[in-house]
Amino acid sequence: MWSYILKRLLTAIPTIFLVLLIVFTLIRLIPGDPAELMLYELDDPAVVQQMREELGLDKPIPVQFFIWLGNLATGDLGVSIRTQEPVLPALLERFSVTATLVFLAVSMAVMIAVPAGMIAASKQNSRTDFAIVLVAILKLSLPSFWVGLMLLLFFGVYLQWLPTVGYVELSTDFGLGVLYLIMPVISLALTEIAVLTRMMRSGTLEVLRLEYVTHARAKGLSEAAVLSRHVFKNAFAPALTMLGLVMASLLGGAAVTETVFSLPGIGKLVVDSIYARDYPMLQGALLLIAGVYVVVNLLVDLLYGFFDPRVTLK
Amino acid sequence: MLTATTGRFVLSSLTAALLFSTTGSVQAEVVLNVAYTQDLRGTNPGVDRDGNTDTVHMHVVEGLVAYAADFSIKPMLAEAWTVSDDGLTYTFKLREGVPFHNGEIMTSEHVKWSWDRFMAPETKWRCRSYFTGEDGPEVVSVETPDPLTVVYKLASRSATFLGNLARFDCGNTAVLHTESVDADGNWLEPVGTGPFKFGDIKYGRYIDLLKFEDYASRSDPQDGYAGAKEVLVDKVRLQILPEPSVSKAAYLAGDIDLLSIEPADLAEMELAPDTQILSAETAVWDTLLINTDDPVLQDKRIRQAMAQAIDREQIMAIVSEGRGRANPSPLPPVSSFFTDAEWEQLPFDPEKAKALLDEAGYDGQPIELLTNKRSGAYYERALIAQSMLKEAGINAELKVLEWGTQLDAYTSGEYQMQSFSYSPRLDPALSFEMITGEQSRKVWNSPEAIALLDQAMVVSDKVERQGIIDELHRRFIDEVPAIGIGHRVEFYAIRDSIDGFKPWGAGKQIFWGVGPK
Repeated sequence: MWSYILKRLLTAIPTIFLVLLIVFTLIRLIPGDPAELMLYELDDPAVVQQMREELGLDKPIPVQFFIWLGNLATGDLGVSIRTQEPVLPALLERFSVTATLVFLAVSMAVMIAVPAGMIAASKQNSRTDFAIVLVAILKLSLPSFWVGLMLLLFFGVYLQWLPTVGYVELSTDFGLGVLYLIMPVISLALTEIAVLTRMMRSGTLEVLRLEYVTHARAKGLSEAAVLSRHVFKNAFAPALTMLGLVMASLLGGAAVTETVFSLPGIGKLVVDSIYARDYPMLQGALLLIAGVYVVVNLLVDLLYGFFDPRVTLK
Repeated sequence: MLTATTGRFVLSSLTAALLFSTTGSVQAEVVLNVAYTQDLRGTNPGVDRDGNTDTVHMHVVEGLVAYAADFSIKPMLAEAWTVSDDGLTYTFKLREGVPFHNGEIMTSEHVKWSWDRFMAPETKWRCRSYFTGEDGPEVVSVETPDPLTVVYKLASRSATFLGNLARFDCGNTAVLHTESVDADGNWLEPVGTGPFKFGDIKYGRYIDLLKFEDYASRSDPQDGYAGAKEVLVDKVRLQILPEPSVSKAAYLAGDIDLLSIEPADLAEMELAPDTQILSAETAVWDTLLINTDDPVLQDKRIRQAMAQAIDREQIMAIVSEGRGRANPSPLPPVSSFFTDAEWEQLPFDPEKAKALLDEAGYDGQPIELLTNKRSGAYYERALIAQSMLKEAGINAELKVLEWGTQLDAYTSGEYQMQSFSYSPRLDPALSFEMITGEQSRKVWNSPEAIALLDQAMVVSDKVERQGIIDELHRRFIDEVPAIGIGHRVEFYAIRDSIDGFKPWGAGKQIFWGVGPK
């Protein structure tokens, strides 16, 4: 297994390099000059040029790329053009917010969607099945920003049970941190619950038709035992693939949820950095996101072995 | 109850302070929670900056002089100043006993040290060129004959020297303590004399301004950035909330005490409980810029036709929900230089516009009008203007860009028309300077206008200067390098329980003098 992990990590290096090269070039091809955006309409061209030189933007793009790579090798991701903060600590701080949010939301989604999908499948075409499918479709049809705003209005504005702005790290004050996370986690989880439920239902239906399930039932096992012992693992494998993709995608930025709940996460940071043409921050963030994709997909591949013994890692 | 890190506690603490002060017992921390749209660019005044950052810096640092509410220049750290007869020597007498945030008392040596630091090229002060002879008079020397006197000597007369010292984007040419930098001269944080000090700065979350307990306030009444600065709260927390719908929800939930609102939200916010709506006509100029070098638009008659095809009153009424007033001049009506002459304009007259177009031989060539969808009604202004231009027979086409892309076009001058806004210029000459000159980003490059502007920059006699400004306005109306729509009105929603917040024309929020009723 260790050789498999090493091989996967090594093959990820050229992928990440390619992603960075494309991103580095493309963001510089977008019209809009960071120096002008910073200085707006107040400055004379000499000042703008001075700013470009300070930011290293006067050099050819390949030179800028290799300078950045050289600095990266020493762990220096540069300083944000927009806020002057060092990129690496800023990224780690923002990523921890997003990671907390996503981990909680995905955990919640899994805990609700897996049993819901399996129950719906085991009672196919019953009222329970229709109800679960209906709720899933309904949740899938609601845009997450709308759900977020509705939560904000209901729990924040009308009931005033939950704070509408701010964020407190769970490590600083767990109770207060939870209060700040309730609405964003629910908002983010709802869509994922809907997707996962449908995935889990169809996976379970397929497995339920297999002969070994019939055999298990013939042995006299209860339906609950059949589902938990014999169906769950096989039905969950396809959902796991999707879960990995969803997790990686959300870790790369749950920008809408972060914006609605003013959470200082990495998605919001990426959006702000694009608008400000904050190249160092954007490059650092995309490097981190590419790395997250690699790691999450690797973890998913490793987990396949647990859920499906037929899968071997070489 | 939540802790001090939340808005809910903050709001309740405003009430708590009132309750407890009468009993003389526990005094809760009083925090003013303000919705702020952007993160801080940095803490180095005049260096790490943008409009919002300047607003924060102006609470922490002070200069020798400051802008008053009517945009006149008044003393701040200076007690008073005199100007020599030849206009070349400015002598500032400093106030006695003004402490820095570190407790040390300000002297002329600090003024000189701060000046030398700003003027050193490695500081990258954005206003250096205004004092080197490039874009303003050269300051040839700064002397400190005694601890309370500073003498600036200029190479030439200037009408803008004091105004430039007071500019927000120049960080008010702040007087700083040497502890603001480390032994190698690297920036640490501002050790200034302002009524607030920086507290926590959490990017993407909030900026805290803490009351400076030992602040030495002036005794003259509060007046813009001049006069007394009495801090009535323990802390101002600027919550970073870029999304208007989110900040509005936060206000309605009671987590925010003060927020800037869009005109479209006025009707709803006026119905919000315990809320007062305040407004001020600012010096932010909303305009339609015209590229006078464009093959089609270089014909003055076509530009005049455009000006007469556009009903600026109607545009202003729509974008400000009937609260703003249109005006044709780059000069803001709040300026003391804005007189009846500045109301002079080409009247809205579509028939005259059509006649001018016929005379110019305009045959329907498309004219591209750039705009964007950021806040500030750039898009709405452009959309309405496009419709009016079409009504008069001008084939105006709207092109919506992302702001950074539009700014690129603005700087390069590669466009035909664009919906644009300029941040406040508080000196009348600077109101014209922003569009006048030979740089590609400036739309008015007629030699006569540039010569008049040069005069306005050096003549300090009020009457003579007024004559130059009036003449600039007349030429501006005749040559139409831009069509002024008006100066933007800013609106704020603030809780009834809070007193003392005064929006002003400079478009800057001021948090001293603001506290619980």
